[in-house]
Amino acid sequence: MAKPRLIFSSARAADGYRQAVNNAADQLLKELYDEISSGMDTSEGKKDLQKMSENEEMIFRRKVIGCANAIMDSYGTGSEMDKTNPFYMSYRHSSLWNVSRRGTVAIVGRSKGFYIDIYGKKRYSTGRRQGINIEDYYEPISPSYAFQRAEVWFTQGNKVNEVISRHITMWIKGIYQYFDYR
Amino acid sequence: MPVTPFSDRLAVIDIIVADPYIKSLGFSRDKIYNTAYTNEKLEKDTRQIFVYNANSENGLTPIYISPVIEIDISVPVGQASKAALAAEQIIALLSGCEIGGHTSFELIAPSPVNLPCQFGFECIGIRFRYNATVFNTVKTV
Repeated sequence: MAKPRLIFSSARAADGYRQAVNNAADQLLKELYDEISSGMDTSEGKKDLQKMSENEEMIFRRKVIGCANAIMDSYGTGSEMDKTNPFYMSYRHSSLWNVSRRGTVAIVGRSKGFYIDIYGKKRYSTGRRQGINIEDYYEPISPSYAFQRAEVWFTQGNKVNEVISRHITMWIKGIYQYFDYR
Repeated sequence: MPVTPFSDRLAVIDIIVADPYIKSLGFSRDKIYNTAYTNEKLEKDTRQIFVYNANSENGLTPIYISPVIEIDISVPVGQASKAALAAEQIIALLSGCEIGGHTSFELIAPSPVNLPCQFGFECIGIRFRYNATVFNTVKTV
């Protein structure tokens, strides 16, 4: 009868490691989502946040996606809009931008015709108030800075390192389970 | 000690208000709030401090959590140094401080940090964490 040997299962250990990183990524996603959500001023903004996970063999991506209401909550609208939004220029050059806003970010009436609104819905404008400030009817929203502030706390602090370290430490403590004696 | 966010924030405010150096920087009691920073509360030409709870963190065991208290110091942009000086003093006052029988306050990186805020204002954020057991008792009237 062969003498029993201690064997390290590297394949199972690698799977365990990937699971640990995956769990750390999930926890970070939850914390980032909660951080952004708690900084929002409106319930519509909070409802418009989504979590997204993408896993490849060695890459774990986590995203918090803000749809229209979340972005308007965080970055504001009209004359109150925060123009430091990294996507501000792409927004200005997109088809969603009201071209009647000349030299201003205030909310103004559109030209006559159909257009696609911020929610992707087709709408019609009579053009009666084209270029005229209509912020008395559509009050501008001041930014809550929910995304921007969450980014500061997450990217400039040790949060990501702390969470990953905690999960990797747990994996190391459990490494005995990847050894077989047979 | 159990989770007592409201009284913890009040205790933090009491410590800040009682400090003569903070007073000398122009932060008066009526401009120190037990609520979160919002644009509506910002006042022109006024130095304000907001004390509120950020999301708690999980403890290493299920018997406790780590509540996080955030202190935002907001001043008109031309008086940014006052916010920086107040932040330094608040860190000195609260780091290692024990409130309500909890573990001592621990400063969280990247505090003190400049936070995005409305044009014309400067805002510095500071966060502290401490540990509190989760065994709150039910109160009766």
